[in-house]
Amino acid sequence: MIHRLLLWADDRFGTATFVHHALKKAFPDHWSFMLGEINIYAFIVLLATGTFLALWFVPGHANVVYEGPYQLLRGVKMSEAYDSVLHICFAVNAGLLIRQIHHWAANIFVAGIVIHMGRIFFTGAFRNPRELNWIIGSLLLFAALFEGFTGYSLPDDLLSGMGLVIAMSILQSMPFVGSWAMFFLAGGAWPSEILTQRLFITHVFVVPLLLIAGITVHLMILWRQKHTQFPGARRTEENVVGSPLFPQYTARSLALQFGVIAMCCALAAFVQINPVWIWGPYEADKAISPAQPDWYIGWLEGALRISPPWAVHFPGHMIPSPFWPGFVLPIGIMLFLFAYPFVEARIRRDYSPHHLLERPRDVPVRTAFGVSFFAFMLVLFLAGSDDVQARYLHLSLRDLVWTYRFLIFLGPAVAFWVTYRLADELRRSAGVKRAERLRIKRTPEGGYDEEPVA
Amino acid sequence: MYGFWQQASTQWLGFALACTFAGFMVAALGWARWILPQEQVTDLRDTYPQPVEERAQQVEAFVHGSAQLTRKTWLTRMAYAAFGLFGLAALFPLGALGPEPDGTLFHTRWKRGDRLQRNDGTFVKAADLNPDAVQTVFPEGSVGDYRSMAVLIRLPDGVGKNTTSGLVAYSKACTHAGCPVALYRAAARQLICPCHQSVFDVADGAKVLEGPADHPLPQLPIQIASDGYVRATGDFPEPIGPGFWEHS
Amino acid sequence: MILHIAALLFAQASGGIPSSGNVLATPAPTATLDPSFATHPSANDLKEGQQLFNVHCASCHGLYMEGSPQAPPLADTDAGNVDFMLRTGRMPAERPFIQEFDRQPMFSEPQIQSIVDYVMSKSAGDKVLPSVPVPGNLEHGRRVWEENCEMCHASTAHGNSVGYREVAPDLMDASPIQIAEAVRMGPSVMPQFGPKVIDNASLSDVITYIEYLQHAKYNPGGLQLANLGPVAEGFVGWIVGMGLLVLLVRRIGSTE
Repeated sequence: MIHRLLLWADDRFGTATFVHHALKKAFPDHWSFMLGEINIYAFIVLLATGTFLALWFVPGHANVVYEGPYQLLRGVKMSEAYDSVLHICFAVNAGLLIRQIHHWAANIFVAGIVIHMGRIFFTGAFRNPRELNWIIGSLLLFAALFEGFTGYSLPDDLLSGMGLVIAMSILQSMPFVGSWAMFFLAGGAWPSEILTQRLFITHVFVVPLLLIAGITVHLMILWRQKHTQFPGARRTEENVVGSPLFPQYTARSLALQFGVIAMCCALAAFVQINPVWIWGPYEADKAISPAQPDWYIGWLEGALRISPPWAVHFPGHMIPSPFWPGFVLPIGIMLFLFAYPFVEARIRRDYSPHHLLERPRDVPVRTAFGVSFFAFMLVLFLAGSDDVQARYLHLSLRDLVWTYRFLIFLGPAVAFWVTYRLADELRRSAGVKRAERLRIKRTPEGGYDEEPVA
Repeated sequence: MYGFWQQASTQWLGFALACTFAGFMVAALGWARWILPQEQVTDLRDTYPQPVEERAQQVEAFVHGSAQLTRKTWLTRMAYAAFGLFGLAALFPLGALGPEPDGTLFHTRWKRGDRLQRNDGTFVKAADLNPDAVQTVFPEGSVGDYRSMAVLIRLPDGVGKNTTSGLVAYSKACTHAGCPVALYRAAARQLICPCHQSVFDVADGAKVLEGPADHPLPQLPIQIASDGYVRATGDFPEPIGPGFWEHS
Repeated sequence: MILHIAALLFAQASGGIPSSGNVLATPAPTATLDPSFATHPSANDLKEGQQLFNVHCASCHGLYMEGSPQAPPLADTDAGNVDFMLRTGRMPAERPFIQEFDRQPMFSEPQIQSIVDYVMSKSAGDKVLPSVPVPGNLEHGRRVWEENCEMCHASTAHGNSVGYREVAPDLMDASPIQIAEAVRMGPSVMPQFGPKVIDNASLSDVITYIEYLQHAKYNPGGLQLANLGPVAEGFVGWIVGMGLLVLLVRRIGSTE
């Protein structure tokens, strides 16, 4: 049957050569090459569960009185959006489970992207000719963050409402165009009646489309350029050695797919996530604490918490303080990620193509720099939950804020130094001598000779 | 079957799903490890840059094609103009995305003579608040309005500047990122924002004591009317909530 | 071993799920508060109270309750305040001026009463302890809670920092009388909610709601992680979710 199908396709499209090569495409046998696949599989889980949720979710702002099965909120006025989320949680078969799978899959999705990017960064896989794919990957990361934030905001509960107010204040903080941007994107000043509608279409259509397009291009480029690989026996810059796509790698990849789905289901089964019925419906004057966003926006929350009150005043105008941590910092990080491959190429004066990876210890400066960047983000992230830490560690919140204000400089510096020393020690203990490269020459007599390279 | 789905807890369903997929995973992994023969293949990379003549032909094709396309200069210019006009026309529907920023950011619904209404619909009398009490209030008829929400606090005798018989009212929207400044540390007379922990000194014009907020909470002018109700004598003197470019 | 852990997790996660079909019914809170509870000074009590006061309290508050640089005078204090401080173990304090968290009370119930009686015999404050009947109306209790309490004590009454060193404490073990006293007296930096801000009926309702949070909550979905929200979820997602997935990838991704 399949045999005939293959022949049928070749009769019409001439696919035989392609299919033959595709099935025997080599996938390098190193576990870290599978990290990126976690994201694709988490994304598939997100699409499936998200479609299910969208069958019931109502992106409406109009007030309704809750009459559903959750007794504590009966008779409470709330938006149609929040009402429909309660309906999903308490009245739709398996609705709560699917909602929790969706949310956990989102957490896994972004975490997976971060780990995958870490692998790419620390092994130098972003170098020529893969700079563009690194940029597309970074764009996918930010699209995923944005997608996550819009999804978190959709239920119109009290916690996410407080997050949206902050997002609007950041939008509004832009010099010159701030209030225009807010009025046009959100349809007016906070609280805008049409915002849920716009967030919905952004969350279920615009950004997913961008993600799908981005992932497709990402994979097409990967397919065309082929995988990188670690140096080793028979592995050169001109080839790729590994397991064939079919059937060996397919079986392994399927195992990972099932593993990711199982992990999302297990987390959703045993650990509650975002219990919106406890936060209650959004009301402008109500607040809850502790109030944090999902972890992947935590660094932004931390930046807003520890940044000093530096507003810039002009006659009749001002740049309010949230502009720096809320706008300049994320844009800066984005630009920095885009530029990194080119900056490194310039610093190392190495513009040539590389398909063989570098071990992190062999490039101590890059490794130290990457760890130091992670330390920077980690300090911001931790600062985002300083109130919870103050409470459980019995510390003064004010002291904690000031500690983080210093740590944001000290942490990355220490991380850089420690990592550099560690990588350097490892490299030496592995017997690779520093700053002494040798070239092996074959002498005319048939013996071998070595000479140092400058 | 229906009854099972109705009453099955999230735990049972999720656990069953997780076990199912974990089973699939183990099966696929076992297949990959023990059933399939281990095999290694070597792919050769396509070499690029591609040959010099190929590259030259590509550039030539593009340059030649462009020249053909723009041979009639005036036609080309008209095409540009047409596209430009179309772009401008596309702005028209986009203009419906939102209203132009108007006075909204500068005003709230407070006006002279408004009584202070609580969430439950009742109105605040000056005598209702014991020292160190705090209440959330809105202008008459606008309960729940974000831009107008305010906190009314009674300070103990002899404490605080600019009080009206011990009462002060401030906008409840934080001047940093707009969250409700809902936490009142009564003994210290400080309002704290739960989002980024800015601290405002209620006894001294809501000046910022700690945290990222860059200006004080606007104070609502109030008076105690002869009928005992607290009434506003006007709107907040400056824009409420987080700063923006046109905010001086 | 893995099965064992799974079973444990499962037992914990499904603990709050009733087996009957009507999973969302609210059990009635059981605690009641004796409305007649108040101070009844008697000579014996006063003597014991004075002895206890002189031994445990006078070193800071002064033999004549005149106060000191370490502690406030008690000449105007209310019975509810003294009772609250002793009943929740906040007093006697280990160190002055540090917010004392809920601890085991040092004194027995009659001892607490006698100290309260003794202090109130010298104080000009309100001598009647706050008292409210429970249960009240649960749904209205939730409204009162979100209007006045949850911004500091957190949605589920697990408490949180309220700036500097102060903490709005966890109310999971708070008794109705402690809650009533705290609302009326405003210990530490908590605002004082007088009877015109939260009337007795509303106080009874909110106590009922807190009792509900303490006991019979219907809060489905699995382990609740103290309802800390995204902070705890993020750690679980990274350490459990991502941790296990990376281990899995190491297993799947290697050919050995």
